[in-house]
Amino acid sequence: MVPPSATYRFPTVHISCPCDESIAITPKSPTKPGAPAVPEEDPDESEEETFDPRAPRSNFSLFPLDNLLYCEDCKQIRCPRCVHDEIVCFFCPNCLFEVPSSTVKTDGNRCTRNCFSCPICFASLVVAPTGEGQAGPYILLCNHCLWSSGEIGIEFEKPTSIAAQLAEKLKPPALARASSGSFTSPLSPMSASSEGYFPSTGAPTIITPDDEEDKRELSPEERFIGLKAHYAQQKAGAGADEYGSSPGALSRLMGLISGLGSGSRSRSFGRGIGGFSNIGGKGKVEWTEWDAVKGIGDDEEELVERIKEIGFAGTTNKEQRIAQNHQPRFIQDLRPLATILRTKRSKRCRACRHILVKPESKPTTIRFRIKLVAMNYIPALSISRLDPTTFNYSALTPLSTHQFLLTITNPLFDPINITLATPAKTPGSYPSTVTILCPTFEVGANTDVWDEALQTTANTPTAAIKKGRKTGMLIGTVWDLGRNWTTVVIELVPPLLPLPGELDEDGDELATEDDRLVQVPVSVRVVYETDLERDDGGLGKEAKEKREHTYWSVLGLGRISEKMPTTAVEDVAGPSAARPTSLVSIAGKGVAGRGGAREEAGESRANRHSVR
Amino acid sequence: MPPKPRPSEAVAKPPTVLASSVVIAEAASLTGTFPIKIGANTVIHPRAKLTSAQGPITIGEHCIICERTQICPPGAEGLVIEDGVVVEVNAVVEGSVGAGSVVEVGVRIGKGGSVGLNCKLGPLTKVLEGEVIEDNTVIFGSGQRRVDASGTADARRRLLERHIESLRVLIPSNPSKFVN
Repeated sequence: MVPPSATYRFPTVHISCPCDESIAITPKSPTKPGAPAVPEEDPDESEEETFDPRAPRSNFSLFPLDNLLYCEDCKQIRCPRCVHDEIVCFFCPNCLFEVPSSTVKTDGNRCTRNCFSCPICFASLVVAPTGEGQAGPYILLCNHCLWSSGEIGIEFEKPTSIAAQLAEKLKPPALARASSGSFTSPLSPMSASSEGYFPSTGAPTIITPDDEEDKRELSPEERFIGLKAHYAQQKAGAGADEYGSSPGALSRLMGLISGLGSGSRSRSFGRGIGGFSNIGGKGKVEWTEWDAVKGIGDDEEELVERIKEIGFAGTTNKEQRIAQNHQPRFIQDLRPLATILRTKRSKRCRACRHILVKPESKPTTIRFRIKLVAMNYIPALSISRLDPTTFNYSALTPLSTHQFLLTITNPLFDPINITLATPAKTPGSYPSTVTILCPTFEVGANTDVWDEALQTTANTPTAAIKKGRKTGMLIGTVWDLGRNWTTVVIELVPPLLPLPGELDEDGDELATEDDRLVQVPVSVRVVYETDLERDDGGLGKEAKEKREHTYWSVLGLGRISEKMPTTAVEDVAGPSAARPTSLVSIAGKGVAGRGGAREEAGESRANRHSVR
Repeated sequence: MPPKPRPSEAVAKPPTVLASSVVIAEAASLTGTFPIKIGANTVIHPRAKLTSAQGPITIGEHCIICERTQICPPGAEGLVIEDGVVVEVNAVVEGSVGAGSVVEVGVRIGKGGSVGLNCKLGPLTKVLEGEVIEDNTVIFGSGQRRVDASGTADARRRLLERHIESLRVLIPSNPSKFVN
């Protein structure tokens, strides 16, 4: 097993959204850790559970800070899982034309104007004249790879409403015939394969044509247009007579009214497709999978011949093929792709339904009317190395002390008190030992950048605080601090893991790649006083309100190296003389009892919350 | 920090033949010992580097050589850029380019490479050393190739001529600096 070290990016800081703890989020019962907690809450209670970054559920609740939103009413982080998206508008990213949603429903989610992308390289196509001057005929030309619609024999008479012209040109002759009146059934050519698809109780009254010609496969467009016409015909028929007089219309109506149960819906669907007189069918229908795989079968010879003729260069690649509706095998069969519309979305809190993000509805503006991002509400964490030498995050030496700097940046306009808590040993079968040297400290307010510089008196409170950078590393001392940030030191002693090849009795690998990643859960508790918001929306200067916010974050500090720590003993004695002696003993224990790592893990569960 | 001293002008000028209608910016750099020949209506942007230390350079008519390009012949056989070629920003050309071709941003044409007529080398693509690119080839994306069958070469040429006319107004030309 070769570790894909190149794919790792260290260090990482992820923040856990607590929404998985409260699936049914209600505004009345705020969740435990991030609640607008009552002051003087028992700190032990909120620390009952340690966040386990290796738990299977954790994968779904960890996000980088910039992916998170914040609900001001719930006073809670909101992740992409616990917000509700609403489409504000549809627009074409190419011509920035706003498309009404009713048009999207009828005409599909592609631009119906002149916007097309290249079927070869997916760049956008331009309409170019081929005649003298600016005269027609016109072609769609890709300025990137120089593909043109002329290559597939399509030219346009006028440079406007290309989509309509193209649809007209691509209309197969069979369809022209169908729309001219001799329409039988859109399903007939595929009835052989669809027999299992449509429930037998529906007993489809499909007229199967006998002539060989119509049995050839229809293109998806033909089939779609055929179905559309079929439904339009049915709808017209149902609309013409009184409600209830036609059994088909009645059953459709019934399906609409009682439509939520899947059984009734599928029944009405079956009838809608199948025919017009099937009211007394069985209640339950059986569905079997419709095999949609297109076999090559008969025309295989033909295909092989064609490939021989045009060579490999004339065939499409996977991307080109998937992008097309009819999934062509040959470049010659590619069609210009109408640009897919995009949406602008607003986001709502699932709990209180307040809007968290609301963009301007015009596609041409990129402003947001409302945008409550978590970055403006909760302190940001960042990790760096204390000794910024050439250091490989993806090969941490086992059993030696690694020192990281954890910087906490305050986005709020009030100074905050931070309490960091971390289990002494990280969760997992091979726990690393973690120590935060200064778990409680203050971070200054996010004031104007120039305030500090313009202040004439230099006696800022920050000057009074001892900085570890100046005095040497001491327990209980912050490393460095500035206007709205404070840095503390985190020490990490990774364990010695079994080598990648070593197997246990069951033949499983003793230490998987996952065990090599150091993931440190850190609970961040933020306490601050802010001006009380009055009912009229203004800020009451006299009244202060104490607020608290706690969240779990997971620091990805690196990956433990497979190499044996040949210099581990020197490391321990050498650069980090100031480290607490207790860590040395723990590290020593790790060396002695490699097999006993599991016992250690169990043991550590008891003393996880030793916050220094 | 004081501004960097400009390289002294004492470097020997290469023997240069400029057609009368050439637009060549003063900040372009023509160095070397072999002759450099530039055809009519060609535009050389500022900071384009033409180095004829290894061999002669011949640039045809109606070409645009953009800024930060490096054109250096690989050997004494020299390097020919034919008529109507656009060499975009930051391209490194060490091989010949056929008429009507477009060398896009950041392209590298390896030593002794040869690009045919009406080719298009997409942004950041590469032509290997000594590689011969057939006429009408389009190289795009991550090195995909296809044959251009759009027949738009004439239209591109017309567009190029209009482009050159507009550059003629925008770029102050000083051919006298390069002629000895």
